Amino acid sequence: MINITEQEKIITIVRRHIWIFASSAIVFFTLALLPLAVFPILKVLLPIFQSPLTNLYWMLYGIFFLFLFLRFMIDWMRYYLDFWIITDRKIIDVEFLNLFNHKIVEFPVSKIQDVTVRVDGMMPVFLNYGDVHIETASENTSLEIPQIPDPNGMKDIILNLLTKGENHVRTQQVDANQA
Amino acid sequence: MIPLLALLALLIVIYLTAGALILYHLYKYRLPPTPLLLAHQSSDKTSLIAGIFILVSLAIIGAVLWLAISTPWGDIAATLQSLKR
Repeated sequence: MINITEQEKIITIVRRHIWIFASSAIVFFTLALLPLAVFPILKVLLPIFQSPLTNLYWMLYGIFFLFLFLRFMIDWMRYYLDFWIITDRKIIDVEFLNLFNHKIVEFPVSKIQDVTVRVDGMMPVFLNYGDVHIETASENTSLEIPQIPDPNGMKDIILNLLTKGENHVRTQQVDANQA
Repeated sequence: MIPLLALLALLIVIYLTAGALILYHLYKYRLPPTPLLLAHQSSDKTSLIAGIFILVSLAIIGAVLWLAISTPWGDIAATLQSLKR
């Protein structure tokens, strides 16, 4: 599970940009409302769609809606259960890959070597979201934080943490030398 | 119409299994509601979303079952037969 000690300070918890979930919500609502909109037209155009076939139509729509709703729930979970916790000591990557695959990885801030930001595409540019790629010297060599809002702000937060960590180490070394 | 009803029942069973898995995941992997983490989240929406999911699912499954019971299957068979001709 997620390990955060009492001494650690949480800087931020970040999820993907809300647009990523909103786009799948738009698809869900369009597909869910389409059969409702089509039914009156079908009823006028095809006399066979009068009762009792109407019941069959709504039953099939019900089943279709259930599975569409299931897909929508999985999309919401992917949005909600995929997050990154940035503390002053580490970055925790919590990834929901699918219903049977869940991953939690911790990256110490002190091992970070390189931070890259990528904003690619029309929507990312307009809505200011993108990927942050972090190279580390730890066992898990790289970390990708995809489609997060304000990726440049996130890069600044990480670089600030890195600078603070280096200053802290330098101060400790000076103290040790003076002692 | 019995194969259709059997298929309907099978789909509902598959749905309920997947739904149960989703709820299990939602509760197992949500952020632990410690004060430290809650300070960075406006609220935990897990229970709200799970509640909506359960209510909508039950409503739709209920409607589908009610339609299956109230449908005059004999008339549908006759209609489909007439369509074939």
